[in-house]
Amino acid sequence: MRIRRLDIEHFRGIDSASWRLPTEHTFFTLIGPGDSTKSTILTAVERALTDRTTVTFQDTDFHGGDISEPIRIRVAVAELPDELLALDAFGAFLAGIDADGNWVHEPDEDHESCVIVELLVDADLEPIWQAFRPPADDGEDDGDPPSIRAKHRARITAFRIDERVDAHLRWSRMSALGKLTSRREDTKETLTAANRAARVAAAEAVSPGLKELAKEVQSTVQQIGSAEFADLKPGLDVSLTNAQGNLALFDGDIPLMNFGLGTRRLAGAATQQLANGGASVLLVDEVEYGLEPHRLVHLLTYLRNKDAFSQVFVTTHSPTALQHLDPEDLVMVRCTSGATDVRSLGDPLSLRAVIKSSPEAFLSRRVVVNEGKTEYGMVLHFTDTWNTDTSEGFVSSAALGVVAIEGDGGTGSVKWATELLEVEYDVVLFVDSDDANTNALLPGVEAKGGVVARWAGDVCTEEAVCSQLDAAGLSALIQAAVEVHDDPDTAPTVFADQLIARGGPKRDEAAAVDPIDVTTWTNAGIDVEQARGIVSLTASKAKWFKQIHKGRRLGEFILDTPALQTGPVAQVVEELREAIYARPPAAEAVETPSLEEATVGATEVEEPSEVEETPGA
Amino acid sequence: MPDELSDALRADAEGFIATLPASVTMPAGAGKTHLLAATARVLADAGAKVLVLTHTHAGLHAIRGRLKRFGVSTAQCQVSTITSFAIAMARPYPTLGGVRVPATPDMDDATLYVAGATAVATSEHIRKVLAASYTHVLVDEYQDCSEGQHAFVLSIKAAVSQVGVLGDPLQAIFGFKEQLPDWEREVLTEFPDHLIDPQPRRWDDHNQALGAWLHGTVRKAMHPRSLKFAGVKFPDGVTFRNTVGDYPAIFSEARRDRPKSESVLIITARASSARTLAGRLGGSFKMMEEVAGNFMVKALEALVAAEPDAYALWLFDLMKACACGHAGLDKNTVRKRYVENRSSAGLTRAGFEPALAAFDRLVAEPTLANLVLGMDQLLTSRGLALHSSEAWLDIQAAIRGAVAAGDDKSVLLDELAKARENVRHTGRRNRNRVISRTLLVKGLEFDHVVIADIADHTEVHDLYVALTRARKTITILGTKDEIELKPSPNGPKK
Repeated sequence: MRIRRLDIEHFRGIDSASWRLPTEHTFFTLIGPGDSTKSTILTAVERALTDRTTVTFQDTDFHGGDISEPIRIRVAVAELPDELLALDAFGAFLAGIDADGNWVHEPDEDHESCVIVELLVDADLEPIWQAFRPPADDGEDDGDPPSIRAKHRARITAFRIDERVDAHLRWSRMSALGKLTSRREDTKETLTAANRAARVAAAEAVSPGLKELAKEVQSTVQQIGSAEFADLKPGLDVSLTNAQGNLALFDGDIPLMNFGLGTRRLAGAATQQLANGGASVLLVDEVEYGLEPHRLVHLLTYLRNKDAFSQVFVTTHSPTALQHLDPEDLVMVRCTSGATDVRSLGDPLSLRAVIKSSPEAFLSRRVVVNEGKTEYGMVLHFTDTWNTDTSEGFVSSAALGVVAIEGDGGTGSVKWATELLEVEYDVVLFVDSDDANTNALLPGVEAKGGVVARWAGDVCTEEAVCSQLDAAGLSALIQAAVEVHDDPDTAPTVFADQLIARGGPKRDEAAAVDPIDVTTWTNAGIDVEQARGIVSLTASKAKWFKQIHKGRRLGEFILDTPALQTGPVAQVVEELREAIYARPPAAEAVETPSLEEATVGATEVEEPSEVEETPGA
Repeated sequence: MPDELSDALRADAEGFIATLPASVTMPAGAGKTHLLAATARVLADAGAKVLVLTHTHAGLHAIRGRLKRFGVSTAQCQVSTITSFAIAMARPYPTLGGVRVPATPDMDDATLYVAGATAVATSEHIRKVLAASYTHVLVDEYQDCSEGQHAFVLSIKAAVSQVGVLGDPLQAIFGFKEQLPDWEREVLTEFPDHLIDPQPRRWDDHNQALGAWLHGTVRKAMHPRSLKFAGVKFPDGVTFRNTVGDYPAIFSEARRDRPKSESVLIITARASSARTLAGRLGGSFKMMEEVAGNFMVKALEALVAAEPDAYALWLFDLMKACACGHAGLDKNTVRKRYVENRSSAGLTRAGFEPALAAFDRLVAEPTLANLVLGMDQLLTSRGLALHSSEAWLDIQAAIRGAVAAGDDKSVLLDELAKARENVRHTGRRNRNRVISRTLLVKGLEFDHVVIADIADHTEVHDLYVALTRARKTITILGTKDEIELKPSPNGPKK
C-alpha cells in the first residue's frame, strides 16, 4: 500500500495543493519555512485515512474560516492489500494513476491501479469518506461513489505519532497494542480477562501471551532507538480514572507514559510497526521532537529502512536531521496565499554537499550564500544589527525565513547559489569581486533570479573597505583585527611584521613611525593611497578577518565607521540589506498568525474517542 | 441446522476440487447442483472465497437454496448469473471493456456486456482484482454457455486458476442467439473431464424405476433417429396416449386427481398455445412467463399507444387474455360498448358487476390510477380467475409505477423491466400447477410432467429436458406414435 498522490482543497492554511509523490521513494521529509503548511499536509493524510469512525471538524478547519467551500482531501492509494482490491471492497471502483501522478477513470497498462480516498466536509461539518474517480472518457456519471468505511481505512493504516501517542501504549480496541494482540490471540477474551483480572491482582494476572508480546515490543522499541528497557511488561495503569481499568506498557514498575516524550513517540512507532507488519504509513510531525541528536539520527536511519514502514512522512526543523538525509529525501513545501506547492528536491549531487555543510539553508525561504567566512561573519553581524530595528511594520530576517550560510569559495558558492535557485529558494549571493572566474558566472545567477551583492570594481572585501578609509580609519581597521586575533597580546607584533613584509614602514621611534599606526606612516614617506594598498593587501593575504567571528568584527567595523556610511561600500551594504529584507509575495502569511497555528492545538489534542471503548466494556 | 454432507458426497467434492481446473458431466437428476453445493461447502470450510456462476435465474435460485441447506453463507460463496456478473465487471470499467452499461441494463445487449466484461477481466489490473476476490470459481449449466460466455469464463480462469465447470451437453438448448463452444474441442481442453459415476438421485424418494430409465434407456436413445412411443414397455409412471380423436385428453390429464402437495407441469411448444390452454383450464394452471416478459411488453406497448378513451377496452382485452371464466363478458355486446367507449348502462351480467363497474369507471374517468384500481376490482367478480397471474401482477406493478411518476406513461416499460428484474433476482413465485415451455423450466423439477404433444419435441435436447423434469410420472400425449428425432442446433436458431 502506497500513497501516490495527495490533493487538498480548502483545508486550514491550504486553499489548494496537489502533490504527486515520486514513485521511487518511500521516505519523505517535508521541509520549508514556518507556516508553509507542512503539518497541515500530514493532518490531511491522517484524517483522510483515519480508522476512527468519525473526526470532529470545526469552522476553523476551513481555509480562511470560509465554510461555503467544502474541505476536500483526496489521497490516491496504490499497491492495495487483497481485502481492498476485492470486488466487495473497491475492485469495482479502481482508478488509474500514471508515473507522473495523473489519475484517470480506469487503470490500463500505462497506469497503476489505485483507490482515491476522498474526505469531504461541508458546512454541516459531517465528514464523508468515499471513493473518487475522475470522469470517464465518455463523460457518463458513475453513479454514487462507494463510501469508504472505517474498516477499509483501517486496512490502509496511516498512523501519526503525536501527543496522543500515549493512547497506543495501552491495550484498547483501537490502539496499536490492541490490534497487535488481536492478530495473535482472541483479543476480546484475552483483554477482557486481563483487564478484569488486572483490577483484582494487577500485573500478576496478565496472560503469558501478553507478557511475551511485551517482550517483542521491547525488542522492536530498542531497535528503533528508544531507551533500553530492563523489563517491558503489561501493567495496570491507575493514572486514568477510566472505570474499566487500563492495561498499559510498563518498564519494571514505571509506566511507559512516564518516560520522556521522545521515548514514548519511538515506542508508539515501534508498536505500530509491529501491529501492521511494515504495511502502514507513518506520519511524524517534527521528528526531532524530544530526541537527543544521536537518537534522532538513529531513528532517521531506522525509518529510511524500506522494510519498516510502507511509507514514512516526517516534518522537521532540525539541521541535524537534514545533515543525515539526502536531497532525494527532501520535499519542499511552500505556501503562497493558500496555494501550497509541494515538490521533491530531486537528486542533484552537489546539493548533498550543501545539506551536509549548511542544512539550515533548506529550512529557509531565502538563503544568503556568502563566499567565505569573512562575508558570512559580516552578514551575521549585519542582520543581528538590522534585526534590532523597532520601527513599526519591521519584520526580522528570521521571521522572513532568511538564513545565511557559509559558501564554498567563489565559484563553489556560485554553484550552490545556482542549485538553490533551481530548487526555488530565494537566493542572495554575497561575494568578493576579485576572482575573474567567479565574476564570469555571476550573470548566470542573476538570470535565474538571484540577487548578487558584490563590491564595485573587481576588488576584494578588504580592498573595498580600505579604499574609503583615511589613515586613522586604516589604523582603526588594524585595531579591529588585533581585537579578534587569536592572541591579542602578540598580534601587534605579528601584524607589524606582516605589514612590513608587504611594504609597510619599519618601526622607527626616532621618526615616530609605528608600523600598526597608519597615521604615522607619512613620516616614513608612505602616503595614504600607498597605505590603503598595503593594509588591504596584508589584511587579505594574512587572513585577518577570515574566520566567522572575525568577519563579524569586520561587519561591525563597516557599520560603525562614519567614512563607510557613504560611497560604494555603503551602497553594497544597502543592496544587501534590501535583498535580505525584501518582502516575499506571501508576506501577509508571515505577518498574521495562520489559521493553522490558531487551531491546531484545539483539535489535535482532543483525546482519541477509543478511550471509552476499552475492551471488556 | 444445515444438512451434513454424506461421506460419499464429501469424497466426490474433494475429488473434484483436487483436479481443478476440471469439468464434471452429469445427466439430469444425478445431483449436479448437489455436488456443486457440496463442493462450495467443502471449499468454504477451508476458508476459500468461492464464486458460483450459472446461466439462468432458475438455476441461481436452485443453487442458493441448496447452499443454504448446506449452511454456506453468502459471505463465503457468492452466486450470480454469468450475465449479471459480467454486467458487474463491465459497468465500472467502460474504457477497459469498451461498453457502457446503462443504469437499467438492456438484456438485448447481454452479449455485448459479456464481451466487455471479458476485455475488463483480461486487463492485468482487474485480473489482480479477481484473484484478490476469489480463490475458486464454479460454473453450473456449462452446456448453455455461448462462445462469448465461455471466453468470459476463460478470462476469469486466467486470474483464478481453480475453476470447475459442471454441465450436461445433452441439456443444451439455449443456443438460439449465439454459437455454443464445441464441448469436446473447446470445453474439455480447458476443463479436463473429471469422471464421477452418476447416480439418478433425484428419483430416490419418488420413482427409482423412472430415474433408471431416464439415465439409461432415454439417454442412450438421444441421438437422431426414429423414436416410437406406441407399444413400448415404459417403466411404471410413464404413459403414452395417442390423442387422435381424443380431443379432451389434455384436459383429463391436467385434471387427473393428484395430491395437492405434488407439483404438475404441462409442457407445450409455444407461448400462445400455452396461454390458450391455461384459459381453458380455468385458472387451475398458471402461466409461467419468460423473464423478458414479451406478452407483458406487448400489452404495455398497446397501453402506451392507447388514448385515454380506449383504456376501458384495453383492460377488457387484457382481462380476456389473462383470466378465465369470462364467457359472460361477451364480445358482441359488452366489448362493443367499450370499443365505442360507452358505459355498460342497461346491461345486466350476473356475477360480473365488479368488472363492469371497473370498466365503466374508466369510461367516465380514464386515468392510470383507475386502471390500477380496476385491475384489483374486477378480480372480485365471481367466476373470474387468473391463469396468467404473473403477467397480470407485473403489468399492474408497471402501471402503479407510472402513476407514482406523475401519470407518465413513458416509464411503463422501464417499470416493467424493474418488476421483471425482481423475478431475475428474487426468483419466481412458487406455483404448484404450471404451464410452460421447455426453455423456461430447464433446471426445475416437478413431480408430474404432462407433455401436451410429443410431436412438438423432436429436437434431441428439447425432448431430453422435457422428459427429465419429472420425478414421479410422465404423461406423453401425441398425435403420432412415432417421431423423428433431430439434432438440436447449437448455433443460431431461426
